Amino acid sequence: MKILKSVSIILSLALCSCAQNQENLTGLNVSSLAAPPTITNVKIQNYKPQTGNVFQNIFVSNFSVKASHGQLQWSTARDGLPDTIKTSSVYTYGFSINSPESVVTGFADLVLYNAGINLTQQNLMYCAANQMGSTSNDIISYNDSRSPGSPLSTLGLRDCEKSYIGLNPNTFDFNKNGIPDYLEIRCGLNPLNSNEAFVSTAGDGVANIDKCKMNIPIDESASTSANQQFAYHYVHATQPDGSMTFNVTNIPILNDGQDNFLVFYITETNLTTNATSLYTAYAILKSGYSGRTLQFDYWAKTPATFTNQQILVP
Amino acid sequence: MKKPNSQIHTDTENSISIRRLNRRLNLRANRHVVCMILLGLFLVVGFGNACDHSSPLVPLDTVNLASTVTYDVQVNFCAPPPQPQKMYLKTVIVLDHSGSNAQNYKMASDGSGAPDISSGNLIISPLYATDPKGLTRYGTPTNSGTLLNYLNNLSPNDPADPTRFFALVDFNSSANTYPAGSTGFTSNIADFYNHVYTDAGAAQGGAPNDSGGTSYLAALTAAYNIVANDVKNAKACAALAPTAAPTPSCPKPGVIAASSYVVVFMSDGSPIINIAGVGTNSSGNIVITGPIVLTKESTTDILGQVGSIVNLQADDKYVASVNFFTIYYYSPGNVDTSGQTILAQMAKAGSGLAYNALSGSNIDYNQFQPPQKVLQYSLSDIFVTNANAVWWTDGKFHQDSDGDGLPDDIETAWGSDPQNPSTDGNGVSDLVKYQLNKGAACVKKNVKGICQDPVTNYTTGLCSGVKYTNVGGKIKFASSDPSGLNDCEKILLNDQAGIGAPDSNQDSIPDWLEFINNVPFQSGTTPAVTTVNQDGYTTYQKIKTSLPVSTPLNILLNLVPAVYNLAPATSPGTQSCYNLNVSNFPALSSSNKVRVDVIMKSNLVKDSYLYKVGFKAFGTGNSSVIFNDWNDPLEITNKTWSSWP
Repeated sequence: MKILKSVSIILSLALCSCAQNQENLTGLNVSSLAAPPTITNVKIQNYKPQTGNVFQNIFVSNFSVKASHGQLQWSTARDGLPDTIKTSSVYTYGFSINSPESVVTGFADLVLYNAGINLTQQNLMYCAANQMGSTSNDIISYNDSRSPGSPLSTLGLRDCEKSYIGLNPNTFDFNKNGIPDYLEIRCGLNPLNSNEAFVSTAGDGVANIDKCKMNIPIDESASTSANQQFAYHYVHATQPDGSMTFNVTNIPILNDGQDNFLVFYITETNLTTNATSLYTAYAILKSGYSGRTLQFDYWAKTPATFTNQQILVP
Repeated sequence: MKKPNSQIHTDTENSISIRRLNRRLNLRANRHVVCMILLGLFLVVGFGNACDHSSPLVPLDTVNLASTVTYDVQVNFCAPPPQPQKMYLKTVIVLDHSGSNAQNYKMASDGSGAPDISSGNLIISPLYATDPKGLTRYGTPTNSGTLLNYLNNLSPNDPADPTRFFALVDFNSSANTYPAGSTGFTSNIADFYNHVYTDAGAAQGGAPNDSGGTSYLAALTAAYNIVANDVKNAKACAALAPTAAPTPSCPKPGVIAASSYVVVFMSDGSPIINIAGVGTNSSGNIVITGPIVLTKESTTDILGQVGSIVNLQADDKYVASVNFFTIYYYSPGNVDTSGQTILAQMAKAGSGLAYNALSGSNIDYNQFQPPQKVLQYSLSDIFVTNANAVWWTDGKFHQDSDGDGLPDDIETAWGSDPQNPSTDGNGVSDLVKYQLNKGAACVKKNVKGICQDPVTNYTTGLCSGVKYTNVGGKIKFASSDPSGLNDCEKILLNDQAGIGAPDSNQDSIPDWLEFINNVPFQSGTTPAVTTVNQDGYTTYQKIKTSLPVSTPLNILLNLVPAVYNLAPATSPGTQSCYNLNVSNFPALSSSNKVRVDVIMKSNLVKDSYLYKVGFKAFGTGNSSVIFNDWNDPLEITNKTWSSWP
């Protein structure tokens, strides 16, 4: 009822303004959201922070699907740039949809896109061999079996990318605002600026960091009908044995779940040193995951399994 | 007492119910009546709540709601389209002309660059000369990848809008430059090529003029002067009127354009300025005449000088970047390790890379070119506020007819003119004067009995450095940013460092909005986004949603924040466009104006915020205002985006 009313106000305003000025902007067609999105859920059980640490935050994201302009957009490379942007003829970047680093080895398409390094300038980008890794261990890398030869696919910021942006290769959260640098860039936040996560760009009172967590755009109101349907829901529960369970529900998926790439980031703070740590894992869904819940035990049991752990999907 | 609301969302319900009630009663035309009715309801509810608690009752202020009308404001706007960053690329090429290029000795195995005297003699051979024909430093016009070839293949600049500039430093014990006198760069690429061609040795059959020592400091000082003088020229050029005649050193008068500077420093070894103990004998051969003592320039001094070149980028309006690359070249088997190390340290200190090149090998000059960025903008923040109504420290929403931030009734009581933002016309607005006087009684009155600033003329005082115009005795100081405070006002309010930035303390709130709400805005002050008030709202939330910053919300009657609803719009091309609807926008009369502050940002690229502010008056008898992306010239305050820092 409330939504309908505000829509009608916008429509009426748009109509009367069009009569005065042909250059008026028109709102997106809300009726394109005919059916609610298919969703999946995640349940992470038996989470306990490492000794001496306390839980800080959890971020779950389906890297294959990006919500924007009231729509869900597929990202084959899972790199934060939907296929529609990568193949759009108005951009001159020469990207391919199949790889997160489709034009310059060591520099993600997402970084080139955000920095505006187009086709004529890409030959000037160079990532030295000793800068290709991630000193702070915050990248997700996996063999992408969808491509011939299963090439290694890297999702995150390599040391050279961090240096190029002005970040510190030794940390995963340069501005110490609680969001890993790579997620900030994916969410359209500036990892150099620590205030930006806590303001509400859209002015709806929902801080940008929360929108980033919910995987909805920071420059759209959370209250649009599309964003209400797309926003992830997080519920944390403490069990009798002291462990925590994270229920993350309403994760939009496309293609019935096939090849949807879920990524999990958990951050902790050390009680004595105040240092933060990051624990990462990923899961590649199969088809038939609509409405189901992917349930698994917390992965970070020993240092060997702290980061880049693949969660096997039954 | 009513509990404070920590979520703006909760209040939305209230605002909508008020509007719904308005409609149902069909009394929109007379909001006064509606509000008085509502007021009665709220008084009952308010007291009912208050009775549940034992805390002392705070008298409720009834003025705010009774006199407030709310509007719907729609703002349709777009980010500027993606565009290549306008940039000048200026390259300083520094070439070593010390004697070791033409004739060199075998070096000791300790890597110090000292001669090997283990045989009792200097071992001199043409094999050790590092670049006798200049093929490493200059190459040939046809040999791909060399300096001459690179310059030969460059497209000429457009004389009206040149983008590529060059300067050359030749050094041995001293340095000389082209253009001469370290005055700056040339944009005439053909002329520069001809100079370098001659410099390389006539007709390529000969050799460059190489002799003497290796003074890095002389070379670095020359390079520093070239860049520093160029920045000075750029500033002088930007200060000219746009109508001034263009010259080669100032192709675009009146325009601030940033340059990217690249220094390419080539040397064959350590900064040795003297070798004692070596002389020439009667037959003209170089021999040892005594103990060998090398005089080298200090590495600390050298790195310090590189640092001062790089530090020129602190002037970030004019300097986009400074990168210092080094190339160490040598003959096979005769490596000066200490020289190589210093060159590597210089590149590191200069945000560049160090390369090694064998004598005679080629260097790709295309790599010393920073990639040009295409800037794409998206929304960083937007504020929709009332330019003619302000919250004052008394917890009331006051009319401010002249929009100077000082309410009409306060102006009248204080003795200034509520219809004139700068009553005595000295270029400083009444609220700035009021704050400087801390609201004290009037010090000096004019003949009309109107309060005057104790200082009536700032143009010769504190603001003597600020440009101004004087039209009929009304001073108008220049504003380097369009937020609302001119440069003189920023100086008076201790924000000299923030001149040019519409958001001096980088907390997402434009300076003007913080200033009129009595919130610190100056460069270096606490960001308002982290300031949480006792009622649970951050100062940022309050300013953005038109709530009083200095009054806790729980002592005001169910005050409702403005509600923003932002949605993406269909975009022409690659721009980001938006529809913003702000409901519950508070106003005091239909003669109020809407003020819209928009901040755009470009991801990942530093120094790339854009800002624009616009105003629009409410239509009479209309409950909504439509603001159309500055299409209508009447709505425009600043037609162009201004960038900062």
